[in-house]
Amino acid sequence: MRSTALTESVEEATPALRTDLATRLRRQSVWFGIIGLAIVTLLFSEVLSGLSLYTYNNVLLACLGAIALTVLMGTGGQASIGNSAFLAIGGFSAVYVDRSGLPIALSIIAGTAAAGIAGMIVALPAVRIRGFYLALCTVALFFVVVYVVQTYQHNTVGDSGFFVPSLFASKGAHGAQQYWAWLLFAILSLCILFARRLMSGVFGRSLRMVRSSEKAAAVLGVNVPKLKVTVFGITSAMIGLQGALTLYFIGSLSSDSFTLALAIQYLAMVVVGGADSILGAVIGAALIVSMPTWIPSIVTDIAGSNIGRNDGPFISEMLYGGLLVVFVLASPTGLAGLLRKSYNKIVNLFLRPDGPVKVPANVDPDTSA
Amino acid sequence: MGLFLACVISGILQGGTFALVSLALVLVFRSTGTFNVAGGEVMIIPILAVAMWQKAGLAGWLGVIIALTLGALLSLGLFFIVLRHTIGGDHMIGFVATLGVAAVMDAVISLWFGSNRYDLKIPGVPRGTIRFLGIGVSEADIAVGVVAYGVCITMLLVMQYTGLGIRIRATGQMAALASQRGINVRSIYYGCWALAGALGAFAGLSYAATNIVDSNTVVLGLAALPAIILGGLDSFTGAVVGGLIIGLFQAFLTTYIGGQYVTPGTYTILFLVLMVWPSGLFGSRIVERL
Amino acid sequence: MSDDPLLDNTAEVGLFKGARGPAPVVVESVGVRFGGLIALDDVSLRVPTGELTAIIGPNGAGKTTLLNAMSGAFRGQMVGRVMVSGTDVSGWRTWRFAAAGIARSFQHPPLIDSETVLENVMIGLHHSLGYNNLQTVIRPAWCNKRERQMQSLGMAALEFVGLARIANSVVGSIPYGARKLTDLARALVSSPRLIMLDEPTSGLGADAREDMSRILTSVLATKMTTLIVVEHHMDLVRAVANNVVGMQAGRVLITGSPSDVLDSDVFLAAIVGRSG
Repeated sequence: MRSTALTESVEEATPALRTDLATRLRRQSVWFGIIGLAIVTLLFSEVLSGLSLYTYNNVLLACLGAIALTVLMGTGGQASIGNSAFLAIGGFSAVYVDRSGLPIALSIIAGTAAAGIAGMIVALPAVRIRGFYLALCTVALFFVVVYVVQTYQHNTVGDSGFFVPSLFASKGAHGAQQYWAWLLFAILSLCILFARRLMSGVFGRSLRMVRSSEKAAAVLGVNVPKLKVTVFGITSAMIGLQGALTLYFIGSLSSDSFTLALAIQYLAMVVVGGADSILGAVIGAALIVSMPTWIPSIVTDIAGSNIGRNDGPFISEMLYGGLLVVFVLASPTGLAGLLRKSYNKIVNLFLRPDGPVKVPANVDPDTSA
Repeated sequence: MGLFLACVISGILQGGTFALVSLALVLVFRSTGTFNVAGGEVMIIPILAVAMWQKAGLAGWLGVIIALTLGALLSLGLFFIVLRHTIGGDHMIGFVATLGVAAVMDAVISLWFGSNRYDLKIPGVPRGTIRFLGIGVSEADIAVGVVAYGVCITMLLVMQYTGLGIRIRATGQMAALASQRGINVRSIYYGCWALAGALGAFAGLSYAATNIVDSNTVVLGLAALPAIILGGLDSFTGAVVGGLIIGLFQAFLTTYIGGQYVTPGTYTILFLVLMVWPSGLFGSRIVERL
Repeated sequence: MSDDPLLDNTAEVGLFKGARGPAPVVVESVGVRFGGLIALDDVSLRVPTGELTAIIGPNGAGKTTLLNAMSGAFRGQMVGRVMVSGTDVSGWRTWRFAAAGIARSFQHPPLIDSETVLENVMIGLHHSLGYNNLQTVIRPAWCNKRERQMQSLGMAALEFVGLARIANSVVGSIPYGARKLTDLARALVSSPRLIMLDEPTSGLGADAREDMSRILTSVLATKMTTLIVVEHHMDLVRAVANNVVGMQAGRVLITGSPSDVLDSDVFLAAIVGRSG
């Protein structure tokens, strides 16, 4: 193999396609993740109280939205503050179908599909605009959606909102949470596998190329408009699925729970957890959704004064807002990136005694699993 | 006819407030390239704070001065602590950072001011009504409107014709070059952010002169976003014109169709502008080079 | 079969193997304006098939704009025609150009910094060996096979340009010269019929230019592609170009062999401001 003046200055050479143990392990990391998730679900559903399990289930639900947003923004580079809007579309479409007397499965499908279609419509401006202009479009979508669902709610059930029988309610308070935990685990696992396929291979590379430079991507053969419509449609559908499931999880739905702050939460999950990374989305979701439960006691310990339960969400908002700022400025790869770097350091220390190998930070060359 | 006229007048006056907020946003965008979504929060915190202190006995004019100073300091602090690091980088980073700041400030507002509502007393604002072309208009509205537009036009003249304005525009366009020509880029940045904060606080004061303020008033800042996109993100004139148009639009929409349409309607305008003419009325075209 | 080990390498692994052969290119009266600025003014060219044509000229002459016009960046904003293999591609959507066997590199290589060199090169194969989302879901094993094919072709391209050692390095951490070569490998990997290179040696030192000269000669020797290269370094032009086109202010001033153009009075007088 001929080496050139250019590459002699680059560090340690790597064999073309590595097959050492550490890399083989990394390629299957999705399965490890799912097994880990199963173990955690098993543990929590047996050990935790109903209330804590409720939080865990909320985390699982939020993972759907966070993973969708990380594919859209992290991999595809399409700025979006639209999670709130698609959640509302998913939830309200589901409730509309539910009130027509149709079975739950159909209303969940309806919520998913409606959000997906809305996403494809939002993709139309995305074809021509990018960056924060696109983000502003998603904010515009948010206000229009909120108006529509508010009017619908006002005209049908009034300001108290909709109530549907919560799924699994017959199993009792704790039992319902356990059933939900396993149902959500199954759905989330499927979504994780699906997202993994989206983020790797041809589609993932096309997304990242569009993120890097749209014009260059087009020159390289990527049908950019079609890609944008596809990725918006798929990710919005996933968020809609979350919205529809949430309807049956909580058992109620009201338009005032959909705020811009909620959308910023998902942005924080992706940025703090780590963009373009499923692990990042999960870490971010777990961190931010659970925050209101553990923040008040920590603040009380530190500050001494008694922080009411009511203030928990606001203090959490301060914390995740602050984390969002810190991470977007300082650490673009987020917590997942930090974890990955530590993993590489440990691997290099123990499994590669001959010296460090340049390990790609974010990707596997092979797409198996 | 009377209704139409009332709409026009109230739209113009409301537009003055929007124009001020928009000017503040365009000012920071032109100088440091930051799109500050937290503008509304920066605007409302000084107002609420002064209103709260006024209840405890703070004197009128002192309150005005404190509000303006607080606005300037808050804005400057925001730049110094957070956004200073985003200059020259991708616009999205600054945008997301301001989103985070907006979230933090929203939480602070809720924690400190809760759901209290304040009636801020601003000295020098006249009471009473006058008749203009057959309809009654409050003197306060007129006074506030005149002052607001006065400030706007002064700002426009300063930006266009004074040495300071030229330096600000030069720094925004090409900071390295400006620095070489002897312009103290750093102090321009700080000055612009402080000025933007004061402008925002002034907008808040003009709103508070004739309205009750509470933690929800922060949505005023949200109305400025369509205004500056409509006017052109990098145009000072566009900010004022955009604010005026949005003010008129909201007035007509509220009167003839219904108040609940205001926010979605305003943002539909934003959406249409972005679809059809993204650079806005007075903005410059955005080009991506290969 | 030559005794150059590089060529033998490519014959084995498929780079330019079985390719359709170089494309004849004709540019007819192409004009491009940006508002009041005329970037290209009635440019006509006949690019000899299978040869390397260098385009030279001062900054602002319209060289990059010409490449952009020939790769579909100005659809609808352009007058004139670009004919590749007898087909008028002027009205084509940008992403169809790759499928037609037209590839290019860029002055400032747009790469995905968070991915490896190999992954970046594989992007060049999307239109030929790629698969769509439906196939990803219903034929995963077949897609994996395609991925491996893309990987081996990608490695072949990297070996061709001498980057195989860093195939798994993250692009964000490699030196600028390696970025340029990655961009080049990405253009080569699809065995294109027409390759357009925009200042492939800008920002590189003399050693790197030597390497680039060798690479370009090897590509030419395959006789499988037509090359158009925008260049500022005249020593490289003299070394590898078969034809030279001199441009200035959006117009073609002079064409001919390297010695014809570079030693002409027209060139020496008009084309000032050349760098390096």
